[in-house]
Amino acid sequence: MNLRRNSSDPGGGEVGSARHLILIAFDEVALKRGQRSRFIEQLRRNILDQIDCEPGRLALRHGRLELEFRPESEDELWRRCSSSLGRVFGIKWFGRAEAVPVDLDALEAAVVRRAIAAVESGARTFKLEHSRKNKAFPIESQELNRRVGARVLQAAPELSVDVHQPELLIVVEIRRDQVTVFADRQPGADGLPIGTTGSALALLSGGIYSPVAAWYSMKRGLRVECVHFHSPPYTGLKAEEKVRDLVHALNHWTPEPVRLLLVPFSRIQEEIAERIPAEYWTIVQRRFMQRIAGRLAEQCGFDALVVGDSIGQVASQTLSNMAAIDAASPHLVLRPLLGFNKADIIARARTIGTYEISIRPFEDCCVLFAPRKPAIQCDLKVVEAHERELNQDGLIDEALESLTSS
Amino acid sequence: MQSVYLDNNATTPVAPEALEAVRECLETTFGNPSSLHRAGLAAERVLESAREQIAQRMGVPKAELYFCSGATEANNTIMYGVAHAYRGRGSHIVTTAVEHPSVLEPLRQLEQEGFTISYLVPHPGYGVTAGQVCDAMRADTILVSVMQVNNETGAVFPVAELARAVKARRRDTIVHSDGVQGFGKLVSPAADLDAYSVSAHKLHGPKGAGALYVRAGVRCRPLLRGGGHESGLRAGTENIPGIAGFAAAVSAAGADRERDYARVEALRGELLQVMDSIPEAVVLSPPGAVAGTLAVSFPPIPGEVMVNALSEFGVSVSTGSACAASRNKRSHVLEALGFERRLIDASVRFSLSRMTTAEEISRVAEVLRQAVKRLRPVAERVLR
Repeated sequence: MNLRRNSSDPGGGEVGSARHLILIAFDEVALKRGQRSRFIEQLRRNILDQIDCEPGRLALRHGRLELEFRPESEDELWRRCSSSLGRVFGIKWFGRAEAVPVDLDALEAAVVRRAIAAVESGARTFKLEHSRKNKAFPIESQELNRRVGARVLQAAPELSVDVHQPELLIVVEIRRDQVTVFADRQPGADGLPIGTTGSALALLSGGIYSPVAAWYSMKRGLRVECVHFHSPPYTGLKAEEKVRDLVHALNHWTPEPVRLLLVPFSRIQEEIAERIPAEYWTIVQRRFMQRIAGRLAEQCGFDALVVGDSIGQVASQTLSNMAAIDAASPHLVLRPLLGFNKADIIARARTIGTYEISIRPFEDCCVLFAPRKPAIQCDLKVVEAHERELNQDGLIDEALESLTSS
Repeated sequence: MQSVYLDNNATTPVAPEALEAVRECLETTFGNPSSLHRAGLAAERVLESAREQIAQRMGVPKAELYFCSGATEANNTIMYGVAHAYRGRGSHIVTTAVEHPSVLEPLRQLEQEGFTISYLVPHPGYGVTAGQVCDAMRADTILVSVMQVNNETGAVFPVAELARAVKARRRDTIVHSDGVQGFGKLVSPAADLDAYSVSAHKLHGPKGAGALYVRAGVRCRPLLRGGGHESGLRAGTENIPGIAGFAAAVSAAGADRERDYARVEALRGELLQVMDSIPEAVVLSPPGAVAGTLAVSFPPIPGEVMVNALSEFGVSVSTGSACAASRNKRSHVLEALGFERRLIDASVRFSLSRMTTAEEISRVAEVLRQAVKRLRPVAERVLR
């Protein structure tokens, strides 16, 4: 192995031999035996669809994806990629990296370049980590830390070493075929690549909870589409706009735009209000939504429905009510928010960008048709008896006939 | 679907004359009126000719008319500007409880600063009398501000008469009127006032242009300071295209004002007859309201639901209360007038303009009857 390729080479000028990369590490994908290659291929496609930049070569190497690009576009590309990469599910972390030949000079030069770049963006303390996967490399990690660290301090006197809480962590991985140097490691969105675990239809109300529930389903790799029940004239154009904006916010987290199905619900609400006692309005409306969503799931091939219920969040969200709602359709109903507190859900809604939209003061269709005292514990038999007063299939067919999608 | 726009108190479609003036200005007169070269001079000519035209329609000297972005700015300017300039003389202001928020909100801020505000509640005919105003005045009253026409009910306030009564009692008290809903429709009261606010987009002009008349000798501190435009009252390069469109709109409105007014009044009369034929309808606007405005309640149908229902048929109207279901934004005007909540929550405002046609009113009548028929039973059930 050639440690010093050329004694007259001052080092540090070897940009030409370095490949500039964004390293992308998988979250749970790495664990899925047998499914691994399918998951990785899906993640690769999702990244290419979702990142907001001209994709370079995106290749699998050493159990990670490497996105390669021209060095002159580095800063610009990193800026544009880093925000969109942070929203691709299935990524554990990602970071800007250089891959250089297995050579001490090249290694040192790459570390120094990373350090200087970090100083320019304000870092003052650093820590070096060497990982010597290639045991044939003649210098041990400890010794490398010392030697390369000294070079960094020499080249960037603004920096000092902090092994506990460094502002800049530079990781050097020495492998058989290349040395990878990376810094700026950003946390990814975690989860599984969208499209690897199935598809679901999320019931989107316009409130705070349902978009968060949709988001968590997407995070578990589901391809999600949304259905919203709107009730003109009881709800207006702005309420519809609000739901479109929620879907637009969710789109930042998916490789393909989320489709929104709009089902007119006013006719059903009018019938319910006319023929059923007020305490059952909420539960019967929810059961209608479930049936309609179930019909859509059959037609479009969704594997499950997603709703934003959280136990006890409102008085009517009792287990018996949820059971009565689920009995309305044979489909699997996912409730990703069951385990969360209100504050957790609001905090999540803020980070995914739906909170500010959800709190706009336009009511969703439930508000006007919400009884003052909804039934807390529903007897399914009683509910079903009341529902027989309605022409259920006719109402559902009518609603689905006027379905619109965007 | 025939679309009918009856929300002219919110804003109006742009008149062809105004559109043409704006377009021509954007295409040819891009200069800054403060510049010394030809381009600047051309812009200055447009600006001064607009000032002349509008001042003339308003019945005030050209030099006392100042352009700004609209009536919100004009109202803010006069409230803060007069209060702060005359603070040494007194700290009492008289206004009404039914003014536009661009008057009420600055006054609330002035209350924080130590001013005392008297809010007059209009009489059953929704007007404010000279006696009411004079009774509210004190030795340290520096400003009286009463709107010319209420934007929600259309009630007309006799501001010229109020101004004369105030002046007879205390010559030094400044009298202002927010003329947004009256200018271009009614006879201008400005000559009797010390200050008057108007806006272009309420009379078929473009948005972003308005004017404030301030009588010579009245002190008013500017809100915006800078390059000394508009005689130092309002800094910032003038919105020449908007102002040109404003002037064109004012001329168009003035060309046949009385005939237009009578025609709109007749159309409003037809709409009133339609209301008579709908048993649920309760007219909220007073007799003698301005020609174009008709506030009506259809209890128990929430106003917002009614607006949505009419909108489905292409008819645009607005509601006094923003959201009946959330019950947190009731109209301060209707509340001040003492209407019951069930009427306030169910209120809808139809506002016509000189461009409204008889066919449009017939269309609205038909749509309205259908909507009430469908919504009333539902509303009764859900709002028990």
